[in-house]
Amino acid sequence: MSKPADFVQGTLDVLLLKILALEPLHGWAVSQRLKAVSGNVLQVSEGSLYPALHKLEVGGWITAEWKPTENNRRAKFYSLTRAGRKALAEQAADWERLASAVSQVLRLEEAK
Amino acid sequence: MKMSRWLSSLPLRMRTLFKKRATEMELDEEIRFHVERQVDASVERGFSPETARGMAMKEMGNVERQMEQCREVRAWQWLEILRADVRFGWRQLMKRKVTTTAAVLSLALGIGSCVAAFRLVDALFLRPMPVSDPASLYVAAYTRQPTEYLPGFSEINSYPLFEHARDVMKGEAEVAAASTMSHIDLTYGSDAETEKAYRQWVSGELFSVLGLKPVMGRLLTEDDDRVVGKSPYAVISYDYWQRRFGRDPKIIGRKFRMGDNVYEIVGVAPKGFTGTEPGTITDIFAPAKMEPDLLKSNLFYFRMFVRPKAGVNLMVLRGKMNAVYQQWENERMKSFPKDVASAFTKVTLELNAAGTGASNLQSEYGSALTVLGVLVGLVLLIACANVANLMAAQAAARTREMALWMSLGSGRARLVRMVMVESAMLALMAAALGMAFAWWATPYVVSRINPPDDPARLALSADWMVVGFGTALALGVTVLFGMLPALRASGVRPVSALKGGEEPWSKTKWMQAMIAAQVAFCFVVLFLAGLFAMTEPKLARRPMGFVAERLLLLDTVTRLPPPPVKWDQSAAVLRNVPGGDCVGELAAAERGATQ
Repeated sequence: MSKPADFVQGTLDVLLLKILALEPLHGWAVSQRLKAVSGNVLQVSEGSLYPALHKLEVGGWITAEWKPTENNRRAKFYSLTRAGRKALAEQAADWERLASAVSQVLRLEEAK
Repeated sequence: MKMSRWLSSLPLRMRTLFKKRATEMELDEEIRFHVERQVDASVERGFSPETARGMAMKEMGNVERQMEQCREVRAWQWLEILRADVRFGWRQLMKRKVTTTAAVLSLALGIGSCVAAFRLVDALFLRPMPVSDPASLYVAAYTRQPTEYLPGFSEINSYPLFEHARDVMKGEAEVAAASTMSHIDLTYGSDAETEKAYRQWVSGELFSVLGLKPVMGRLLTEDDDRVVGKSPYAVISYDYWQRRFGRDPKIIGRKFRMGDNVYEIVGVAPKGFTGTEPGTITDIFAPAKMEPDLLKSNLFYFRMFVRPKAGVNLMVLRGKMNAVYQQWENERMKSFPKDVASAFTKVTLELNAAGTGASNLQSEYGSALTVLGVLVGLVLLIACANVANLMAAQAAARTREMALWMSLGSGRARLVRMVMVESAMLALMAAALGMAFAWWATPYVVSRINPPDDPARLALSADWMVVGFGTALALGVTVLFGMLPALRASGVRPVSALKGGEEPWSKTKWMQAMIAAQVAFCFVVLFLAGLFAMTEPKLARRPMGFVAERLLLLDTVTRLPPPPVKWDQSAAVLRNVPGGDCVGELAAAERGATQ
């Protein structure tokens, strides 16, 4: 388990959905939020961020809008759609079930 | 993806497809914003702008590749890529006109000959007759141990046997009969205006057993079979109606004389029905009961078509019919000398599928067509290997170009697709050309099958099956000759290729294998072609037992069989013609007309 990022790759979608569920953000802000909330454990490369965002947008989970930023520049803000909210709930539940199952297995006492 | 979500993404995809520039600029702006924002953040933390930019770019990685990935996610990227690939492929092909032409021509020849062969096979063996439920139609066949004088297989029987079988089997099967084809003379006016036509004698129930409906008028029925010589009616085929009469709507009621009788046209058979013998196209169907001579039990002239009724087991039916046949033959043999009779008794009746019709051409050309099929298949393979080598050579030459593409962010799949599109374009061009070639070649081959004055006529359809075969062939060929060079060309390591370094191993091995395969194929085909070329003139020059040089054959047709004296007189006149040496007579008396 030297590279947790690999393990987490498949869950990037659910992380992005969660972050955008809190408030609409542009791409750079999403990347900053990602770094802040996960510390340095989940290193999502900037490169995979945009393809993932676009995939979610095309899939209809998030929607994009061009809006001025705080220092008056134009940026593409992403926000969650209804389908996105539903998908987030489902995937979060899945993830928690998986995580608790794995940690339960890991807590088993080894026979001496 | 769920339907509703797919629908909701539709506007977005459409926009990406049709407002290409706008979406492209947005993507660009989005990435640029990200980088600049990152630079700003680093500068705030005290880095110099240059360092900050460098850091941001490094963090971002290969920007072009990410943008490419974004583009791929959006819209029907494949459609756009395809458009770009086609345009690019076309430019590539046009850049090397000579190679392209060579490749297209050799492939076209391969595909063309394959399609031509397939059209033959299709017309002769695969395409069912346009009758109702062709799969449940059978033809009676007679098999025996072949002897020196008698062939082992025949489908021909006498009309009385058919009538007997039809009446006995009434409960279990419908039985109908059709004669073999004759090229006969008939006239719509005076004797001076005789013309040729193809005729089949049929039993009254043939059309109803086949489930055919007339285009016009009526078809022949059981009523036309009741009394000998009392139903001078004929049905003409759609093909003949079109060819001879230009689809004249007033055709019903036209009369013509054939042999001793005057017949009236009562109907036109459905379009596409060309008789029961593939290899020939029937013009005229007339009731067998019109010719008393046909109805002798020792005259073998008819095929018997059998359609089992629902729920009747085919094997049981065959057994019963065989028993009927054996009994009939034993009865018939009573009037024959013992030794002749014994030769005819060990014959078994079989029922063969007749959904595609039944004809001599099928049994005679079956194996020849198989050989032809294998040969043209080999030709196509050679053409493929040929083109594959051309492509491989080009791919090798394009290694650097590929390397450049890759270093600019094109994925391997994208490069493979590019080369494949190029091959597909080549294959499609070749397929179009090949089809055109096949369209011309098949009728030509068919016209050469039988003697020139009575050529085989085959209803060659231009239906979806042939087109489908050609297209499938083209696509198969694409994969065959495009895949490997594509994979190889895109498998380059950009750095070594750009530096000019080569990986000699994989390349030469692959090329050598291809060339070896090609040479092997060529050798086999050349060898076979040589065999054909050597054998054909030998067969043509095989002695016939008489000197055929300076012999002239006169084909004469008369309405009534003239007395032998008449022939002698004609011969005497001919003998006096200067330059002629000697005239012999050969009279084949055949049902009233003598040739």
